[in-house]
Amino acid sequence: MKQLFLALVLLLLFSNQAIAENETDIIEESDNNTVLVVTSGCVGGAIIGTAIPIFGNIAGCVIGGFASWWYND
Amino acid sequence: MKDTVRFGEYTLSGGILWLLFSCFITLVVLLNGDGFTLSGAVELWTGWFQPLINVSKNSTINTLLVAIAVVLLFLTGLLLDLLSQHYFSLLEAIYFRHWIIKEHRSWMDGLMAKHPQFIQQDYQRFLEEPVFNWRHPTTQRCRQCYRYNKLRAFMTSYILINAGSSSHSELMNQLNLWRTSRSISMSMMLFCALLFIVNLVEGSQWMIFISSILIPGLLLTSSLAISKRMFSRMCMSLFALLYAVEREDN
Repeated sequence: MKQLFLALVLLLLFSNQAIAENETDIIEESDNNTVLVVTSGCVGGAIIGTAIPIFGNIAGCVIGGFASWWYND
Repeated sequence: MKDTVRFGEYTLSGGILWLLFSCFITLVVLLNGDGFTLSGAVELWTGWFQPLINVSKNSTINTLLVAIAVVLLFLTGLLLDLLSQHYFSLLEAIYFRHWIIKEHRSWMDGLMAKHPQFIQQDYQRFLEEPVFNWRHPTTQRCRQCYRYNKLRAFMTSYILINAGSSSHSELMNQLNLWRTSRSISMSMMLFCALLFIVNLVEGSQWMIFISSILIPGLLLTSSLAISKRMFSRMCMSLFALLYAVEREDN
């Protein structure tokens, strides 16, 4: 079940990956990269937020995701 | 001797955190510039230390710099120990309650029943109540972590008071090893969190996935595995000594 969930997450992350042949594809790929970067930022923030369960995880996820997006931007 | 060991532990774990942080800064600077090369990294590090090398030609300032560096490392190690205690006590309490203590309940119940005023009630509640509660996550976590810490402190004190001096050194070795590994795991966890948050490479999705999710994820898993393994070893020694001391008392 866990493997299935992981496979689903990976599939969702990479489902829209496109070979950049024209401008639309380049924009799409850039958007996908942003999603990936923000996701990893959320994970990092949630790890640090473990100090305070639930609230800390959520706040950490939001702050981490935002920090990651800001740095990438 | 004990003070020297403690000093060494804190300095080592503090040094590892600073080392990992330096590696992270090096990666950020070099990957955002010309790309990562060994010569580039050496050049960057030389640049960082050059002002210190220039200043430290005077022996008095040199001694002062070394003293400041040692105090800084020690303080970092101390903070890491406090942080790791806060972070890992939840995981340890869950592991302790679900796996470790169940094996030993047959004789642990009897030992705890001998000390009703101090530990029995906390022991019963620790086993009966869940570590995590959705309604009151922070309160329940604090309560259960307090009970777990009290139980572990009681077990350690019981051994230290009733066992011989040879057992003390064995137990203290395991405790020191576990505490140091926990601090090192904490510094690796912070390093992984930084790697998760800061995207170091640009390019295809797979490259970003590998650098921002896969590598930090693997590092995080391995640091947690090391910490769990050391905790398991420490608990094995703790329960073995406690069982032997308890049998001897009976």
